[in-house]
Amino acid sequence: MSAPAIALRDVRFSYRSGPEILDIPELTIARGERVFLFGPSGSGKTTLLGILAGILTGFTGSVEVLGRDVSKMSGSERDAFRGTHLGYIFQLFNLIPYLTVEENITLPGRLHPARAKNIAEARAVAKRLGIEHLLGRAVTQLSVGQQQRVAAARALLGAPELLIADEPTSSLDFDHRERFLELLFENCALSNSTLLFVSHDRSLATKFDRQLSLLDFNRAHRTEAAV
Amino acid sequence: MVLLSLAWKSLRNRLLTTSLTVLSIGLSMALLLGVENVRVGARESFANTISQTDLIVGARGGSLQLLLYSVFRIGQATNNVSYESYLHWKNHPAVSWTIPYSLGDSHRGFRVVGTTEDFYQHLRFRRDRQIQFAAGRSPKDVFDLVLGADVAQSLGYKLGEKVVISHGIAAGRGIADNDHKDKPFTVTGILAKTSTPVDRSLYIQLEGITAVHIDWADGAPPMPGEETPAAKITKENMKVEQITSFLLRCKTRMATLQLQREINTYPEEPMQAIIPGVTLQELWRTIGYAEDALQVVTIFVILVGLLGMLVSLYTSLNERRREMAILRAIGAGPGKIIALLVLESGLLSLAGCLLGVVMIYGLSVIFQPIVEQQFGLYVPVQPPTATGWIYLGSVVVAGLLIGFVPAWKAYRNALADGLSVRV
Amino acid sequence: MLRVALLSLLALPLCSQQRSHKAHEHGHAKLNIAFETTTGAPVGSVELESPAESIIGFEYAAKTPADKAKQEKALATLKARFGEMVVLPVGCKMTPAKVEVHLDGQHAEVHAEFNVRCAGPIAGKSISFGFSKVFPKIDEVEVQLLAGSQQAKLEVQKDKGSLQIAK
Repeated sequence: MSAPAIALRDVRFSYRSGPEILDIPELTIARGERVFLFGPSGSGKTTLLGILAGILTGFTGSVEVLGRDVSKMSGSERDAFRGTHLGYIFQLFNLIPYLTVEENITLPGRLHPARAKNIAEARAVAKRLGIEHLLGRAVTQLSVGQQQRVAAARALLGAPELLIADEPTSSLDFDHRERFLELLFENCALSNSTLLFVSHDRSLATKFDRQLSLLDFNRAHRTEAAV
Repeated sequence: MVLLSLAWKSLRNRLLTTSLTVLSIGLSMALLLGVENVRVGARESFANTISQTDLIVGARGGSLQLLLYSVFRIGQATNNVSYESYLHWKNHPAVSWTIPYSLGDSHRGFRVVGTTEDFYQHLRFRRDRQIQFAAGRSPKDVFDLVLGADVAQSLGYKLGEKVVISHGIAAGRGIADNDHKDKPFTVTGILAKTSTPVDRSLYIQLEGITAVHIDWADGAPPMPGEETPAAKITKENMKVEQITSFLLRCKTRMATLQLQREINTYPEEPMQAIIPGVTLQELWRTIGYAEDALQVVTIFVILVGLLGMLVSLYTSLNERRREMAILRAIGAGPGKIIALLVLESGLLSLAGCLLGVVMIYGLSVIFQPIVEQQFGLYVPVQPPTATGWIYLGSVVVAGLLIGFVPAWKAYRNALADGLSVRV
Repeated sequence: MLRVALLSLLALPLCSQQRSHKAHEHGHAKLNIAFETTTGAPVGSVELESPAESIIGFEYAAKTPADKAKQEKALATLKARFGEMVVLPVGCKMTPAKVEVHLDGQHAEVHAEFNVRCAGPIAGKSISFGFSKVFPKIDEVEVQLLAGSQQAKLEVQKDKGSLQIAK
């Protein structure tokens, strides 16, 4: 447990023959930390998340997530690692349209044997997020706010050690945004998950343990950002 | 299992395209199985038309021709055999029984067959079924006539009815001038249905055939007023000179081959003896080309069905990019994305096959009586034949394989998209 | 429809008919197999009709001692190894009944007849062939099988294929 949740050192990344997108000399996020990461669009946020989630490869340097060296894992190991230890929430359209709310929430558990035992917790997690009454519904009947809570429930099921949320509140109005964030914090605290929350909406930043500007530690964009 | 239920639910979600795809595969499958059923049905009903006959004997000529006119009443003989030769073989020590046929006349499109009591006694079909009478009895007198079941049904004749037969079988209907109208026949019996060509003929005595042609010379009718009056004709004074062909049963199978050779080399008259089962086999080989052509067409129809499935799966991929990104995010590897699409394609083709089987089963039940009535072809209602199962299996496998095309595309999409949000 | 299709077949020159006209063709033999029944302990016969050239090597009356010896040897081989040429189901035993050479003008035929007795049922079993092992010149055999109610025919080329006795 001593290893940090995320530890990057000298990480550089560029898409095939394109300009360098990431150049991060050092980034460390401790376990249990709630980190707010911001930066303008195009600053490499999605790329960074892709690397942390083990979906993008081809970087140089060292990326350790939950103490494991991502570059040393095989493709299927990264998939299994992501499925077992990570939770991921998208900005929008987080749900598989042809599954019910409950099926969406329990899908990671059914896809990964290591997470199968968590299926039973689905109802409890849904209750904590206030969507218990929606479990049997088709996801197409939900409001955007409800959809994001279902996405959060799915990401939180089985208490993943690292929760990555990629602008999950940007489609919500102010009241829902606040409420959603509270729920996220409560549940991260309950499951002792590290939260990496990405947004360009700085108004939320103060609620977090730490605020990070991608522009501060990503040298690849420093020149452009100055413009 | 998870992927299977995902695939199933995803297909159910796109109900319209799914059902259209399944329908098109189902229809083409039904067509393929239907062609196969008709093929098997045709073979079976042909083979069932004649049983326990070791040899069919006629004048020398085409063996298939002999089989077709003697058994199926298709086409006609170019030459006859003499009654003398017939008696020679009939009384041969190796022969158990014979059934003589004298063909060439017709009645309103149905053929008239001159034969003897042996026909009613010895003819067998569907292994061991025998001719039965629905009404009346076999002909005893020169102008007695028996109707096949279909003839009786379509012409509506009853016992005691007078029937005039015509010379020749051209175009189905006798030419008025060729009617043997001075010598009408009386219906004395109606045969029970056999579902073989027996149902589509009228039967008289060999002497009856002699009687109607008695004053004919060189195929031309007698001058008016010169006909021998029917009253003067009795069975005893009618001498049978020739017949068209005869069926023959040997006492042993071993003797059959020996007798066939003897008949084929009979010095008194050029004759030929064929083994019906063997000639039928030759017929199938000849028809085989047409069957193969039909088969190829049906297979193309199936390919079109499968191609339709490919198109619908492939075009659905763009709107499913989000779905793939979500699956990736919760830890589904590229292998699982591929498996999902292959399973969807496999499920579609499996469902199509099932639908095809159900459809052909239903259609067979509905159309079997009609086909039997119209074409004399008994198409069995049965589970798919061995070949049918092979077709079904191949289509499911082909469906799975085709699934790899959209699956590959989805895999490429997933790699390119990663977790990024493309809506 | 079916009738029309079948009628049009009559117009086709059928290969089988043509074949039966040229009865004597070197390398082409005829084999007839007959079984009275296929159940119980079937009894039957097998007869082979082959151009003498394919079996003995020549088609004239053997006059010289060398020719006579050659003919004797060939016919003895035929008798002795017929079981390899026509492989009947296990339990069936063939005994030679008649092995003769028929001279007919320019041609000669070998005519051989064997009686068969089988110890048990043969229904569903198959018959295979090995003519060219014994007489390499025989490369096509027209086989007819009568077994109970079954009537079948098979063109055996280079010993390929087998005949299944109906169940």
